Amino acid sequence: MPMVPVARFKFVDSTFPAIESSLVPSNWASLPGISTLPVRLWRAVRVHLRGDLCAPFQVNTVVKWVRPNQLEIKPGGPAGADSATVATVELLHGGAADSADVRQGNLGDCWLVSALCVVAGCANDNYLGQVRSMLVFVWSWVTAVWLSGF
Amino acid sequence: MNKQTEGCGAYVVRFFIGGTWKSVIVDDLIPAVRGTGGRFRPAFAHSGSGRSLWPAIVEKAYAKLCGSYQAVTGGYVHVGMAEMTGGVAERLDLFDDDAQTALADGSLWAQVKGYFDAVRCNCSI
Repeated sequence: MPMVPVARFKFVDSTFPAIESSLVPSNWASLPGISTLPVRLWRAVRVHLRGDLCAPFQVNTVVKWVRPNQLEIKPGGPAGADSATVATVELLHGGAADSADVRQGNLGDCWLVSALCVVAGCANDNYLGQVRSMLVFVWSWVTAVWLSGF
Repeated sequence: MNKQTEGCGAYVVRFFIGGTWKSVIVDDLIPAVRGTGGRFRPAFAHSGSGRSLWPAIVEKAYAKLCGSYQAVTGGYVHVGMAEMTGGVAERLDLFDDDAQTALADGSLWAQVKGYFDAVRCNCSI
């Protein structure tokens, strides 16, 4: 069995860090040049308009940002299938996206998650067709630039 | 991703935003709540079995694009579908006058059935 190289370092994205400001926008009032009054008014209006529509965002429920190896895996699935091996979280368990296995969680993004489910169940050829047409578009653009002698 | 970068916890997700594909790179640090057995459960989008990571990764990439997780709350399904596929999305309001007429004469049923057979269709309330 070929050895699969394991990366020594885990990538840490410093542009979208694992801190609270990535959950809720950072405090605008602390930015220089912005007085707090408009910000307070904006928040008040926003809460007034959206308070009943959106469930409160419970940022305090997030206790930690974790890597996949710290996530729990629910028991279940085919009986005894994983008894011999330690179950791990994979990017795509079973090699294909299962749209019935997607849960929303504690964030009001039903629109994104439901779109995700539908796209996940999508036949690949449709999607590839679109990707292909995009490639053709980019290629013709590159060709045009090349022909114009840029 | 290739074999050499496998396991480093970096993922690239592509969205079709404003007419072009935008690639968003994220790490696999997932906001989580306390679970059982000293482990954690993703706070937001996740897979029910806990086996697949992709829902959390795609959501994180979209949150990064928007600036924060909170910025993702509230939106339209057809926008999400278009942004994920680069396709053309259409929204059909069933309480629309035209839709009500089409509902009465049965052509709406054929139209929606056509959507399910040929393309992708989603419903929201």
